[in-house]
Parts: sequence; structure tokens; C-alpha cells
Amino acid sequence: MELRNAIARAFFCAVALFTAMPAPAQSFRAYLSSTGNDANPCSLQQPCRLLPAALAAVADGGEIWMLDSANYNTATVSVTKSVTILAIPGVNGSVLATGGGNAIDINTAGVKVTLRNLVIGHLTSSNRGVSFTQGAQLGISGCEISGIQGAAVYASASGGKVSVRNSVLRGSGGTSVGVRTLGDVNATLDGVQVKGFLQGIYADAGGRVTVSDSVLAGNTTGAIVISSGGADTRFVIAHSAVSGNAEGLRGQTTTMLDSVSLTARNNSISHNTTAGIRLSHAASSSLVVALDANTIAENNVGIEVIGGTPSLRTRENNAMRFNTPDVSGGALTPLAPQ
Amino acid sequence: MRLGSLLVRAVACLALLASHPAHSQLFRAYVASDGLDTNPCTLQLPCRLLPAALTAVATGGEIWMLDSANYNTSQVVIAKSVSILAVPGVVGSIVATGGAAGLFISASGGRVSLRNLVIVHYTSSTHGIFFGSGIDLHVADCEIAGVATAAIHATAPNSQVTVRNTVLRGSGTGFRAEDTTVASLEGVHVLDNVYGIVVADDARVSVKDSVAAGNLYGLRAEAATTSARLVVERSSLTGNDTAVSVSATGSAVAHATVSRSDVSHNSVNGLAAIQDPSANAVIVADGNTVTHNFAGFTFGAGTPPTIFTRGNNVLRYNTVDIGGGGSLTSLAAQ
Repeated sequence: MELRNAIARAFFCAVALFTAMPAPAQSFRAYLSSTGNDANPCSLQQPCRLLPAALAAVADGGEIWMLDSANYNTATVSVTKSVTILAIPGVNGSVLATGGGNAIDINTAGVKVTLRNLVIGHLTSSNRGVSFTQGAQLGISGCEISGIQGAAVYASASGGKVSVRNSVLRGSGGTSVGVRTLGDVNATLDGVQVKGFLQGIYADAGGRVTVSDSVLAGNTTGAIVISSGGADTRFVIAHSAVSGNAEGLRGQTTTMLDSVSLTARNNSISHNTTAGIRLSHAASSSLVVALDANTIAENNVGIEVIGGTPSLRTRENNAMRFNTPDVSGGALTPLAPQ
Repeated sequence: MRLGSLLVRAVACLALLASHPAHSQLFRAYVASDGLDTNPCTLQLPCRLLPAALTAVATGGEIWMLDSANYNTSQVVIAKSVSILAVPGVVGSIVATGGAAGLFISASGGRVSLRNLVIVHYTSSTHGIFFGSGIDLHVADCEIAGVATAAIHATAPNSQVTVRNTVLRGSGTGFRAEDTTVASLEGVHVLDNVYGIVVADDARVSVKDSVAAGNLYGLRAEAATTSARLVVERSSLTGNDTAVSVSATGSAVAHATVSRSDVSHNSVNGLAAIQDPSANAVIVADGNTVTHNFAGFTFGAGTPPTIFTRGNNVLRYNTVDIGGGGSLTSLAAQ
């Protein structure tokens, strides 16, 4: 009787253990710390050390918390599931792009990835800070991404949505880009400082980019909007400062198939040493600009058309002054009051 | 056995030495209140003061302040590209003392980033941050207070300066740009200085979403030989003696373009311009609310300067809406 009882208990325990806690159990939250160990289960009591271990431990849709200030990768971190990666407030959660690679690589269909309060930097050689080539959503908030040689944020995930909020993107000159969208990507930037890049924002081939309450400063081109391949690329900027670049905003079509639109409202566009807004229009293409209540001052040229005849519409409520001249190579057409 | 063990340890030590050459520099150097400057400035063995960390860190690297403490004893000279930051939640203090600056940046071709630092005056000071040479200075989330000459003085030719989410208070000048500096300030509070923000000859400054309050002069473009150009957007300029002043002497040019800002409760002037007869001082005012000042717009004595408006400012409840005997000029509709 006693033996049977013991066997039954052992069997029950074994079954219960295996069903309740399968060997590769994944947690909703995985934890990292500077004193962690990747052989640990990434729990709060026994955190892991590096992001790949935490990504293996976390369940799809879960979270990874960085518990103290440290660096949390040694090579490109591939994110292949939906996850939020955050450094807890008061902590510097560092991830480096090194070895000519990306810091964080997202290339899995359908995933939704959020990055919060991270500091992404460059060590020796780098390509991208955050690379989003496949996936549904990418959110970046409270992050600083600096010194990356390729693009701080690169987004080409078809149909993907990108949101960058309250973040600083700092370039190191060269050929670096702050935010690069390529193809059918919908990107929203709010409260973002983009500084020191060849192109602060580079929207191409069908992207739809909206910028608000942001600063584009000290770039060769603050934002360029082009349309390679003929896809319609749309760019809206509002309540932002576009200052101290060579070109503030550039809209460009290069073939008759191209279609680009640029809308600017309530911005301060100043101190750009070539032009505040620069437009290059290919014959028979569509390059449409709408200006509403911007201050365009202290640029070399305020609005410069360097080719073709783009459609340049205004509500006649922009303050343009101290540019030499305010408008060059084209003419403003009033928008109908409606 | 014991000899064998010693040999193993000796080999291990040699391997360590080979992997950490004596003069290798770190991508990250660390300082902490319990650090020692004889340490290698690693996370495990942090240094105590900034000069040791600046020696240990590689060009383009970072220095992290790990806990709340003061990290200098005299002027710190920064001569390479580097980011210096206090980790969030920590007060990373630097004093400007000995009649000198807190941080003196002399880094030809260098890019310097300063984050989450607090710089204060101790006994006698000149500047919080003096940017004498380099191509880029980025200041974010800092507080600089009480220094004698200027909290930030940017005078590196052909440089870009950005200041973000920072308080500059109680100093001779909050932020001063001159030479061929181009600066962009966002979310900056300049409070209770003699001069809040000064743009001098050859400099260009844009200010957005910022506050200038309690200064003798809130923002000032002053040109004596060439030109000084200031653009202000969506800011609150309140409780100063004069909110914005534009001054051009000799044959120089000084501009201030002020848009969508609140200019109020300034005890002398809201927006004021003064110029020598052959100089050119100009203000553009677009969509501002200018109320409760002694004078809203002020034309300085002598040859009246030009004040352009788009006819969309709210000018009301000032003791004198327009002082000094000039009249506003309308901007063309564009």
C-alpha cells in the first residue's frame, strides 16, 4: 500500500511538473542585469546578462527589463518575436552597434517591437542602430541613438508602422542618416531631435512620414523626400524647428513617374545655409508643396526651386524674411480659402 | 603541485596582460564616489575624477558617472570627442571654481556630448561650459547655475551646438554664442540671469519651446561688426526687464525673428530694437501675444529700426503698446 502510494505520488508529481512547467518555459517578463548570468532563467531573482538570452527566455508579446546601468549586447541582437525591451527608469540601458553590424535587427513578419529608454551607440564600426526590415510595428521612445555610421533607424518593413517619440538621434556626419524609410512604411516622429546627419530624415519610395514638435538641426539635409520607383512619397512636418542645416527640407522627383508631396505647417525654418526648402522637379512628375503659417527666415534662400515647376502652394500666411531671396526659381500660388 | 599551480597562475597573468595592454583606452570609462584615480576606470574598478577618466577613455568613447557625487576639483579640459553622462537618477556634479570654467572644451574637430550633468559655481568661476574649439557640442538634461560669466559660452568657429531640456540660471549670461557658431536650443529655461541668451557677431541661434524669465535681458541679438541672427519660436518670454532686444552698432546687422511666442509681464520692453545710424537692427513678429509689458514694441532712440509684423500679433494691455515713436511695417503675404 505504502509503495503503491509512493509510486502514485511520484507519478503525479512528474506529470504535474512536466505539464505545468515544460522544459523551455517562457516568461512574460525576462530580466537583465550587470551581475546576471546567461545560464540563469532570466527571472527577477536570477537575471541574465545579455539580450539574446533574455529574448530566448521571454514569451512572444512579453517584456525584457534592464535592471541596472550596463551594456547588454556583444553583437547584433536579432529580435524575432513581439517584445518590449526597456531599461527601467533611472537606468542607462546600453546596446551597441559594432562589428559593422546593426545594434537591433528586426526582420520577422508580423512582429510588434517596442524599445524604451535605451541608449544605442556605435563601437568601432556600425551599420544601423535599429533595423526594421520586416514586421508590423516598431515603437521607439525615450531613446538616444548616436554615432551610427549607416542609419540610426532604418525602416523598410512593407506595411510597417514606425513611431519615434521623445528621442534624440545624433549622427557623426559622414554618410549617416537619422531615420530612413524605404517603401511602404508609415512613420511618425514626435518630440525627436535629429542632428548631425547627412540626411536627418530620408523618406523614399512610398513612405508616409509625419514629423511634429521636433528639431532637425545641423544636418547636411534636414529631411529629404524622394520617390524612387515612382511610388507616392508623402511628408508632413508641423510645429518643428528646421534649423542650421545646409538644406532644411528637400523635395525631389527624378523621373516623370515620381510623385512627392510635402506639407509644412507652423514650423520655424531658419539658418539653413543653402536653402530653407529646396525643390527639384522632373518634367511631368508630381512635386506638390503646401505651406501654412511657417516662419522662414535667416536662410540663404528661403524657398529655392532648382529644377522644373513644382506646385508651390501657400495660405499666404508664412512669415518670410532675411532670406536672399525669399523665393528663387519658382513662384508661390495661393491656396483657396476653404 | 604547488609549482604547477604557480606556473598556471603566471600564464594566466600573462594572458591577462596580453589582452589588456597597459595603454589601451576604453570605449567606456567609469567614475564613482568610491572610485580611485589609480584604478583603470572600468565598471568594476572605477576612477574618482573626470581627468583620470578622460585619460582612460578612447576618442569617441563615453564616461559614465555611476553615483551622485562631484567629479572634479578644478577646470576639466576636454581635448577629444567624448560623451560624458551621469546615469539617470544620479546627480553628476561638476563645479566651476578657481576663477575658471567647469568644463573647458578644446577639441579641434571633436564632438562632445554632455548629458544629465549639474554644473555650479564654487567660490569663483567664469563659465559652466566653455566651448572654444570643436565641431559639435550637444548638451541635454543639464542644469548650470550661478557661474559668473556664462553658463554656456559657445565660441568654436564653424561649430554646431544643440541644447535640449536644460536649465541655465542665475549666471552672468545663460547662453552666449559668437564667432560662426550655429546653435539650436529646445526646451531650455534661462532664468534669472543678467543676459538669458546672447547672440553676438557671426553667430546664428534658434530657440524653440523655451522659457526666458527673470533676466535683465531675456534674449538679445547684438552685433558690433558683422551680423547676429536670432530666431525664436513658440516660447514664453516673461517677467524679464526686456524680453527681446536687438542692438546693432557701427554698420552691423542684428535680427530677431519671433514667432508664436508669449511676451508678457516684462517691466521695460517686450520686443525692442536699437541701431546706430548706419547699422541695421530688425525685428520680425509673427503670431505672438504681447501683453502686460511696460512697452510692447519699442523703437530705440535715434534712427528708428524696422519692426515687421504679419499683422497677426495680439498687442494689448501694455502701458505703451508701441513705444519710441516708430510704426510697424507689414510683411508681404507669402
